[in-house]
Amino acid sequence: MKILVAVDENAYSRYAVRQAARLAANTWADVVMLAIEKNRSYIAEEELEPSHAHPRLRLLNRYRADFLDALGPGVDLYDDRGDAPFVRREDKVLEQELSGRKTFKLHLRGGDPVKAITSEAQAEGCDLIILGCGQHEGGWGRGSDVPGRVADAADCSVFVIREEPATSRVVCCLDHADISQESLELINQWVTIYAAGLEVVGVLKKGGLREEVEAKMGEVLDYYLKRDVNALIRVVDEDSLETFIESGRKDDLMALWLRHKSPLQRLFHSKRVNALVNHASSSMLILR
Amino acid sequence: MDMLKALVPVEMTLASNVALRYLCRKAEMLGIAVQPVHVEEPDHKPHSSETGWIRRSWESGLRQAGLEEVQRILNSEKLDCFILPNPIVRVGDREDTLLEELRLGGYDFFVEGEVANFNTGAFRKRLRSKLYRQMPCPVLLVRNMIQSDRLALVLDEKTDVESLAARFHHLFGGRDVDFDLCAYAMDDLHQDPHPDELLSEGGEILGSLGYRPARAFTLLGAPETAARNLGDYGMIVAHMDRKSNRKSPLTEVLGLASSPILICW
Repeated sequence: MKILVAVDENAYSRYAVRQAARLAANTWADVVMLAIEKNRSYIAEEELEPSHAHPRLRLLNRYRADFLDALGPGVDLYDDRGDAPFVRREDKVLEQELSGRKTFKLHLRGGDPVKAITSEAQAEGCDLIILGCGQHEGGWGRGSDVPGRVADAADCSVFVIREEPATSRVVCCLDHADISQESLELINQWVTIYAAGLEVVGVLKKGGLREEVEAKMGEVLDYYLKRDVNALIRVVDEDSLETFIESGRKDDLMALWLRHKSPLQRLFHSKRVNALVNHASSSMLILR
Repeated sequence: MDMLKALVPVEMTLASNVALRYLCRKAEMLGIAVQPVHVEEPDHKPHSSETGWIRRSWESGLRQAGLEEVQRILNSEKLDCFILPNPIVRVGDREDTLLEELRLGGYDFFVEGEVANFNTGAFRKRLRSKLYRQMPCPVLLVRNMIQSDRLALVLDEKTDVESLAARFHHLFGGRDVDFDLCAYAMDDLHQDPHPDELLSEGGEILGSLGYRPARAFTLLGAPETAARNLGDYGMIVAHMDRKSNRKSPLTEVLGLASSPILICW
């Protein structure tokens, strides 16, 4: 698995970095940590200290230390040198290479945060984007809706993580049967990391549960029960799904499978995904 | 200690599957014998023959298919509890058939699966159904396989505490039951009786029957919050007045709860 952790200067990013480290330690993931700055140009940049020319490099270094610290003792996956240089690549990305047994890179990009994050995820072939988010607002700058727009625009799964309290319940909304083993395992990872309960929610179409969705719910339930995960089932009418997601509490993690085949994808057109992610109280995991 | 007899519909649905597995996990705590029942509902299209041997052969075919389905389900689940050897398979209206069997069979309770719905309308509709309004015994509505064996006896201002305690005694008498006593209200203002009085009354009545709750507590708040707070219990036991059509906060709590609920009438 390859994880992209997008960070800014807010406290929720530090929390996101720590959770990303816990996932990386469990899955031995390759990791790219990305900060974004406004596009800058200097007359003689080479004469400046990199950290003076690009203050966000200091931020990345601080989060790098947090990340390595949160991995816990005995996890020897990445290089922990603090003195590796940042190198400008041809595509203007500043990169610090800290790979050990697994890849670990710090990247700094310039420009619009949504474009920067989605381009980075695509360029690096990431499976999951993790980014922090403020309570009831997107964060990432005043009036910004960056997390929601990233969740909507990315090709891979996106975890928009809100600050503590830590998740106590993971809620998976299932509206179709085409879900991958990887996504089930990702859910399992978060359930384990948070020692949380799990609720599998089937979406009712016209008051009924489609046969294949019901069968998949049974399979998913068995999958988690066999792994000693405390899994529950519930259904929600398609018309009430948005209300249901919005009713999630701060200590919930709402997981939605959005695929081209998924009716949820149709139901939650771009603006709704954006609004749901930005305004929900709970953390949101968009699975693709 | 007599074994309790439970009538349990066996169907090819997730809810029925969860109910059967839950029952078998809790068989020791509940001390039950499971009587499987399956009702094949004929379609309502007019048939070439409504009477006579053609009709009887058609019904017999449906019954045979139903029996095979029940046996397939019971075999596939490898259930480790006492299941009565002859499943009942009938052809007819589901509600009428189950009601008739409940009336004639002298069951201690009826058990069926239901996947909890975020909208409590489905639960209220179930409560208003002919089956639920007329069934002669309590119903155990299983929503999830909760590991805990601890029960919560939940009271509200409308609860007939004596009736609930008597039912509890009938179902759990002589068994080692771990339970908490809970008085639920949205708030504790203008409640008659006050939740504390309910707890005290419930404690006294249960005490006179030889039961002592591990914990007695008042649960105040919106139904969503209360349902979540009761989520760790292996079973929620409550009393409902079938004569009243009024929507009560406790009905909402029961509608939203993830745990199995035992409703005594």
